[in-house]
Amino acid sequence: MENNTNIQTYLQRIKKRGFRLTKTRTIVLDTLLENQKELTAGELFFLSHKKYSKIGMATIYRNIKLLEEESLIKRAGFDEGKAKYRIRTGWGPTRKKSDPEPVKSKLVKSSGQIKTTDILMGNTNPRGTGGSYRDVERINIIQGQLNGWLNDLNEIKEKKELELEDVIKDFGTVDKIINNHDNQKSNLIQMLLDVQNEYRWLPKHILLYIGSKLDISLTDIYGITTFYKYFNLEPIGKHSIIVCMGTACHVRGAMNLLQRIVNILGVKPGDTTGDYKFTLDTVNCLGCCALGPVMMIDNKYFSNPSTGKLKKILNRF
Amino acid sequence: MTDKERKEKIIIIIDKQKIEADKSDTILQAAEKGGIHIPTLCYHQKLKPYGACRLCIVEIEKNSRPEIVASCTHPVEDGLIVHTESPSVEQIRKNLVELYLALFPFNPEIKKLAKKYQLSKTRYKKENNYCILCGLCVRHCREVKENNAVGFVGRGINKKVTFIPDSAYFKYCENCMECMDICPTGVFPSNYGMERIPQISD
Amino acid sequence: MPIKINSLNDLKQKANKFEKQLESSTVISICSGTGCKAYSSDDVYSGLQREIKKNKAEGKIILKRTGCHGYCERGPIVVIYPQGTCYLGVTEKDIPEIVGKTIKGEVAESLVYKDEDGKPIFKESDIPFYKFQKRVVLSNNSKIDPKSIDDYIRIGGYQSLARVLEKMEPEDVIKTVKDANLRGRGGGGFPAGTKWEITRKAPGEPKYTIVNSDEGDPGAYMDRSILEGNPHSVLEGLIIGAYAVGSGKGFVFVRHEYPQTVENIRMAIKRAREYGLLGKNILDSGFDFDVEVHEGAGAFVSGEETALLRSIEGKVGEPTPKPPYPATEGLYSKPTLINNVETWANVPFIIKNGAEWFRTLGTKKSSGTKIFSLVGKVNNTGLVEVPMGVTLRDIIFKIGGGIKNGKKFKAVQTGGPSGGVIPGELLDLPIDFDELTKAGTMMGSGGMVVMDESDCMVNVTHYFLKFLADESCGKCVPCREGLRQMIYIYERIMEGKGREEDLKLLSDISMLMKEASLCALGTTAPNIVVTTLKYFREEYEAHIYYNICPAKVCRPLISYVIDKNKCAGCGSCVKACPVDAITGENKKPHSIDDKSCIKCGSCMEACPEKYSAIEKKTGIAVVEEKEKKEIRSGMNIKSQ
Repeated sequence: MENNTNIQTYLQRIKKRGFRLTKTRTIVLDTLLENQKELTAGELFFLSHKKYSKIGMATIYRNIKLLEEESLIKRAGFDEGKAKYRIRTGWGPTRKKSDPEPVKSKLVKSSGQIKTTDILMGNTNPRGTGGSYRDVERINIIQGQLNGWLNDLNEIKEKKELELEDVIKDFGTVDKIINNHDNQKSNLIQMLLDVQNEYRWLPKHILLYIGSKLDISLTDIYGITTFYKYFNLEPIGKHSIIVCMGTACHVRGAMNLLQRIVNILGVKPGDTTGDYKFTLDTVNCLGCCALGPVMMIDNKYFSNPSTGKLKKILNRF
Repeated sequence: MTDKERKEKIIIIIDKQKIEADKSDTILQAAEKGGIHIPTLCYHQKLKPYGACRLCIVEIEKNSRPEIVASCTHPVEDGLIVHTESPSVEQIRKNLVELYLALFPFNPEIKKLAKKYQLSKTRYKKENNYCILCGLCVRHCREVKENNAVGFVGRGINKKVTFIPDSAYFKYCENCMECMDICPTGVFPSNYGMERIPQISD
Repeated sequence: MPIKINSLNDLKQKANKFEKQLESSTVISICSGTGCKAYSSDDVYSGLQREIKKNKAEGKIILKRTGCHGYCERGPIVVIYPQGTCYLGVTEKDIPEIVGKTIKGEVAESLVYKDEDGKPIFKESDIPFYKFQKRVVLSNNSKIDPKSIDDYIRIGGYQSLARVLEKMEPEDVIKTVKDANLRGRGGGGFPAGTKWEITRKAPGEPKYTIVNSDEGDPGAYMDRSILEGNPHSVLEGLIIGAYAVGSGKGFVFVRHEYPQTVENIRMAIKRAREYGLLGKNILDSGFDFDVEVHEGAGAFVSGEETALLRSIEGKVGEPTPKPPYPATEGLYSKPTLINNVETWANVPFIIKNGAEWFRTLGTKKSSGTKIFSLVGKVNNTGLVEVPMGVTLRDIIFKIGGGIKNGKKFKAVQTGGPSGGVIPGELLDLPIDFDELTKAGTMMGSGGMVVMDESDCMVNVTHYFLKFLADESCGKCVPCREGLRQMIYIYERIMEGKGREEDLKLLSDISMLMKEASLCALGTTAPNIVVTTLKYFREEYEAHIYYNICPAKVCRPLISYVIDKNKCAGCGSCVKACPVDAITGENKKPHSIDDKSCIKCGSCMEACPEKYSAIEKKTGIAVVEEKEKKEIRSGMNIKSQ
């Protein structure tokens, strides 16, 4: 019941800010709240329609889109190809009554790296017999967080088609990197540079792992990786094309060179071509100002190539 | 500074008024003790001073030359002379308030200052996102609640406040909603879990 | 296993030994700085290796790779020792000639520098580019292999350190540096000796010493050349400084975007440790000091000293308020001494030759030499080291060889994004820390970009503002929002939608940023705006009132036009155009559709020189009906 009051206050605030809570929207939100689980659009329609028959399917879709944009509801997984939605409220993911999931048990048995899981799965009792009510709740919270982490891993696994064995092998490499830097929190940036050198981008599961191993919050890690421009949070193409935008190159026509490359590749600076072959980027000085305007593909430098020459060069890769 | 040094008393002169302060105080804290009001936006008593809003600037005399500093972060010195409303400070603050009017005109402190400087409209281009990145929500969650659920992403003109990533919001946030209360712009609810940066959101 | 070096005598003996080893041979040295590498100097090196082997001359000729020579316009550069003969622009096909002539003791005349009359100049030090310089810090780059510590010892390296540890007290070192009036070369110009003294006296242990090599100024690569070409000189200066302030741990903060530099400094540290010049009990003196390399990850603002400290601590690189200054409360709140690479590199020379000698170079208030990276529209781009007090005119015209392609000089931009522009009438200003600041710009870390009449000041300012807006940390409102608003205004001006009140608004934002920003990035960001407004106001007015870009750069205000009298209808431009904006029948004059044209300039490049039928024209005069303003004389306002 305490939860309900929180939501009401929350909704009141939203309203105060100017978000209009029409009858339809209130009913959709109410339905989601009551059911405490994820619903597909169809289920949502069926349940809402029972309350207020004037709601049509189109209305539901329109409202789902709007509420998602306002970030009041969140898409959470798929059910036989249909998207499911749930309210954003700030609790942990709804605890599934049936556990453990296949991923969890595999992790516990095969690697033994994630030792906390052992404790939480009830293999050893941290507090002797029973334990107090507060401890159980604390453990539940930690378990909820761990479930969330494992859920994330599952999602990553689905999305990026990673084999779990690869993921665990990755952790071995990352452990070595962390050890090379003396397990110190202050060496986080150096560690991330090594990870990026190894994988050419920063995969999410590795960031999660480093965060949990060094006790650095994900917020801090993402703050750092988005602040420093060298880090890539998305996989990049096989070859990186870098165009120098330094002052000396700029006065010698770097913008025109960039325009020519953009025209050929069809991507903006910062993006990767669809076939993952090239990633285009600009940098603020390569240090070869006599060659300006200069561009670099992998480690080779090219000085002011024309459109025709560019096409020939790109075909070589 | 040792703890003993911190408690030492010194005298500083703000607006020709002699004020006694601790050696470890900042100019703003000393002014508070003396009852002098310096406008602030990103300052909060429970949090470490940040120095982002620059509204608290004052003029001090250093080596007999005037210098403009932010009073929330500048430490006091014995015998330091401070002016909170000298002509140069007023001119700069007027300019700054005009800039704030284009960013978010709803805050009472800004409204009061706008009235004082007779600024009814602004020449700057209005921004639709009211967040001024004062960092109160981030610092509160980090220092007082110790949850680290809200943070900054990006840098420069692309800097934003967000929960990162969405699943971390579920992990760290204890749903106290104090970040919404502390936000001076009143806009934080709209940023509540709103930022979807493709690389780091599901 | 290298044997530890224990004393000044050891060093002198080793230096003699290495020098003797070279006496009987000729040395072919090739510049392997990043600039020359981009010119494929690596291939030339391998080619030379093969050629020497082919001629069975390994006993007589020693092949060496050296650090950056600085004359980057004419790379790759090869120098033969002991004669000092210099070959420029060496390619792989020159290799047989070079090796052949060197074996015979002759000179390959076709490769040496030729002056305007065609007379050959053989020695590197006689070439005009070098003759007018006074190379101190960069002097050894061309003589040693940066990856070899033995080479550095051969020319007397680490002897200053040995002298300090054996014969001087820390206070003596500080006094020497203070007397020499060495000022920070990173841009701030703060007296290094004073900073060292404050750090030494500040309470707290441990103390840290840091080399700031996060050179982010676009167009500046002085620090890279020093750290890459002669890393041991920087290390030696660092250890001397650490001894002076009582520090046991040091960091070298270098950009990740300089891979060769990172490799060289890491190797230098490793070699120094092997010889006992780093680590415990350096040179048997009881002084312990060790160094760690930290790489930057792509943030210009992390070159600001407080931001750099936060970066080393593993946090986001945002500047923190000063005071407290790093000298009293720096890394992990302990006293920290941070100096720029070039400052550190000067220290061994000051110890070796004395404070008096250092003061004979330069001006009264700014002693010593300074390295500038002279780039842009000059004939001789490269690194220039001159004593302070040399005029801008001398650097650009005597050393730089004047403006490329015979165009007219317009302005020189100094100090990187924190600096401003200097117009032609101020070219006789002597360069030092204070003179340029009076003119509204600053010497900064040494970047010098020369611009000619084809550069638009509005466009250049916009470029710098965009750079700063991207690199700013975004913490304080005046810098972040000020830059954002200024960029909006500039984009409007460049599109021809500028308004009269814009210029006043720019001045107001500049004043706000200058006074109220948190760090030096914000306070120096408006310099470029203020100086271009001061010296080139007529260009802004042309953009605003007449929609003309006099330099024909701002795309919305220019059009590419085909001269129907010159066009032969060859169609080269049609093929080059990426948006198919050119139409015309074969052998008949073509025309460009202005609406679809994206102003990339490919057509003008493609048009054969004999026709030269395409030219840029700038806007049709649009005069405000309400107010006609007079433009300062010197501007031709007709449609150009």
